[in-house]
Amino acid sequence: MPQRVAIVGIGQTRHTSRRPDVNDGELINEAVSAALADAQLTMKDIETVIIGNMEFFEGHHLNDAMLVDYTGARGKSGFKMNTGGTVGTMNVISGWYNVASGLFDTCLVIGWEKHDEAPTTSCITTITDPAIDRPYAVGALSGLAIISMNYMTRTGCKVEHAAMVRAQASENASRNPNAHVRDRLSVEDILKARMVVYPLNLYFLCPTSVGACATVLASEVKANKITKKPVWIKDHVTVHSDYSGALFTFPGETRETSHMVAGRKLFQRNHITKPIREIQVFEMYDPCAFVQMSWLEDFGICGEGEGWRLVEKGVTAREGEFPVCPSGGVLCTNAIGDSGTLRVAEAALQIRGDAGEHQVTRDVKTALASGYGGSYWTDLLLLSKTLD
Amino acid sequence: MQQKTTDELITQEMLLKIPYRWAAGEYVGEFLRELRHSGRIYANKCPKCGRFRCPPAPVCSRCHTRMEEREKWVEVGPRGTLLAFFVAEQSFLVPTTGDMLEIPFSVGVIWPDGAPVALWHKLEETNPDKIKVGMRVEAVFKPEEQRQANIFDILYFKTV
Amino acid sequence: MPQRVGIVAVAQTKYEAAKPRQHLSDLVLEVTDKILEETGISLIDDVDSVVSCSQDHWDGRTISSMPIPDVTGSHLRDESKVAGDGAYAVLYGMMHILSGHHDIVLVVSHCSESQTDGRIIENCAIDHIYHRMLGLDFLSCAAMQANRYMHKYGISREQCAKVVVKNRGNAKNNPYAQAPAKLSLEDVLNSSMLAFPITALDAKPASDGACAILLAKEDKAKKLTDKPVWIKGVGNCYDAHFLGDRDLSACDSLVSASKRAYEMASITNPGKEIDLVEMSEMFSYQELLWMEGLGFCDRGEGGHLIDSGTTQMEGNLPVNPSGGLLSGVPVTVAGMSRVAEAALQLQGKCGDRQVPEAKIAIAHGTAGVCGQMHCVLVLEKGGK
Repeated sequence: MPQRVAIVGIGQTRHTSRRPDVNDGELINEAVSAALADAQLTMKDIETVIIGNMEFFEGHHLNDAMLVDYTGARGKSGFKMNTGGTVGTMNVISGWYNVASGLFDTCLVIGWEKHDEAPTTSCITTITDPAIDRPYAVGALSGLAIISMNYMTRTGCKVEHAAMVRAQASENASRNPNAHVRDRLSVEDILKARMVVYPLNLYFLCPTSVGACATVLASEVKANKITKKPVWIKDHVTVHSDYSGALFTFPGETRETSHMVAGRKLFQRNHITKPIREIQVFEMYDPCAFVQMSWLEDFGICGEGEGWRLVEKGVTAREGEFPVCPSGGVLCTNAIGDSGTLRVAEAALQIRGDAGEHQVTRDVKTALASGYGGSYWTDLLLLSKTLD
Repeated sequence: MQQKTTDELITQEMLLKIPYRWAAGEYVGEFLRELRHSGRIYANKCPKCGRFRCPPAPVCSRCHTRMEEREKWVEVGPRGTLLAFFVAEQSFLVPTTGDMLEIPFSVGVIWPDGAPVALWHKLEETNPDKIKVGMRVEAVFKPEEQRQANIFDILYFKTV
Repeated sequence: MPQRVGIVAVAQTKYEAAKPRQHLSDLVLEVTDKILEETGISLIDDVDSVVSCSQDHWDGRTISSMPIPDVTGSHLRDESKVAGDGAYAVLYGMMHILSGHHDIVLVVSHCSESQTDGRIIENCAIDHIYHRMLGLDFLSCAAMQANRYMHKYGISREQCAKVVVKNRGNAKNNPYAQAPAKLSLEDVLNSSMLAFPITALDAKPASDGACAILLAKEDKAKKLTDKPVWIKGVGNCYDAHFLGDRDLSACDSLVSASKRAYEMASITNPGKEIDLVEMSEMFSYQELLWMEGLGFCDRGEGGHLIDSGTTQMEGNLPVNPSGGLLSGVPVTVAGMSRVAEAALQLQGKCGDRQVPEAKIAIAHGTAGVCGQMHCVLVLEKGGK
């Protein structure tokens, strides 16, 4: 029988550039232990383990099987997801399916990445087709540079707006002890940073981080017994794109991206007509400063061309009307397999009121978390304090 | 027994070299053969929804209709309009060669004349101040005897 | 009564040692189109989501599902990827439907082993701090397991060779099989030794191919086919990774996985209730060991089971009537192809390899060193 699913435990490691003091399993186990402790459960209570990351990033094949002692999957059910940048949110969605299907009542979901163990950008370059464009990709940076340039061309957004986004993210990250890059940055600092892949300078881009995040999911019956503060995964939408990713809209075509389709579907299904009013926080997967603005438009939070205006007006600040990434987001912390799971975890912490110094100032009942990756692939999850 | 050095962090290192021989498939294979043989760039079209693909594809990704066969392929370029570009100013390890990327390295997304498609390729110009979205570019091919039926048969796109 | 999940249609490419004409996405396109042709459904209008299964290391591509949305009609639609064996993707597709989130799910998998060097890939599946540096791969680890298993229970090389003769012989009736062959025990025993006791013929050959399965919620399955195959039970389980932490003469995780599957399917006596098994045997000894794990005989009795003739086509419990992995099926696709073959049996579509009056079948998938993880599905014939 289908079951409703809640997040009943959350754990994450601190995020940093390097963790030479732990191997991948030990890193993961820090998050797993924290999540179990948060849920006041032990591994005995977990029926299945879902994990996801990108194998080449650490150089390990079938690594869900390799890590069973650290993930707790030994003797249990489980399998591995891999969808690139969206894998973090996909892990949670997969966990949702595991429990919602009625086959399991509890599921441990783990997202992680240990980027200090292999050259990340080089590995990301291999997402491309070897015959067509592998020679021309520079990891994820090239795609983000193209999307950013296209956003500026389409909407008149300026680099100063991207700098505002980054400054705001840094303000948020400075309040988040688990974030990676926590320095408070001014717009001037950001504009002066060295160019990495024009038009993206160092601060317009996310860092490469090492970290892990685990969440415990439970069915309705169990969730209410485990915790007084379950966070309900009310709904989720996954939308992928073909290989060309619809980056460009040619004359006569209507612009349509996976984020746009996902936002429309999720909001329609849940009778949300004004997300900016009806949702209190959005942990968006924002791997570069420009896309945060672009995707506020694409998700339907604001109209086309309005994204940078929202940022300019302070709407997306922690104390603003529609806080975006109060954790600092992917812009300040990106361990790729972990980032999507972390978006869900951070959104859930906001709903629980447990985000400490980076808690948003408004009362949070409903939150959004998104994942991004691939050739414009999207996961969008709707989390809620209550079931109604 | 030697004094234990608790500060020492043990690592294992490995250089992974995996040989791959990827099949390009009939459509991309033919696209690459044409680059080598005739110095022409081809796209194909979906007969149902009208969407183009470059390189040509067997099936439409939007409506899953069989795309047009070889006789109806459309030649595109060699000139085109620049839709977007980037210039890498930091070097990275290139996974296909094991060498470090030579910088500055600029790549454009080009709308070749003849079909609404977006083709990624190297740009000759590497100074971002001299590259503008909307500018006209043209494919420069290698001399025929040097072409190998891969994407490098086009050397780069030059500004026109 | 909750709705069951049905297999509506399956498709496989012919498995071949190499398919150099086809891009990986072309393989998936081939099986996707076969499903569409057989069922008449529309990818765009009828299929709610696609679950793909592939491996980055084998494809030489991070996010190896990148080219898939193009060929499965998944542009601006739901598609996701399980990384592991294809049986797990079937399980995940089943969860899509049981959760109520989707009604009709297309599950696909692909792998072209010929495009790379499998031993390097397999070495990457072994822990990097200690064992990888020994240069282990699946073959060397399997040889270790075979030695342990054979030593403990007196399983002979001849008994293992019987599996090869049976499966390669069964493959002659399977139009998708890569390497059907009429072999003798001597052929197998005398073929070149790879790692004692595993000879070349005791090992799965490298293979290229793809598989697709269309799953649907019960009421829709019944509309799409008059021969739905119900997934009655499923179980999956991980064993330890370090080989030293495992009893290599056993397969504890398969025992756990099959127990869960049988419980869900209300199977209490598998030997009597199951009509056939399609399992993933990468090496000949594995068929013997895993028949024990599936509960068809006691520990250590796998050799006697093959001797008894029970698992031959004419026996009471044919195992791998398709020819199994030993006749050539790529990893990743393997478990999904077992589900496909078992479903075809229950649909009565197996021609010369048909097990007569098959009503309940086991499909089995595995991944990892020495079968570290297993997924077992119990399938039941539906319709007339």
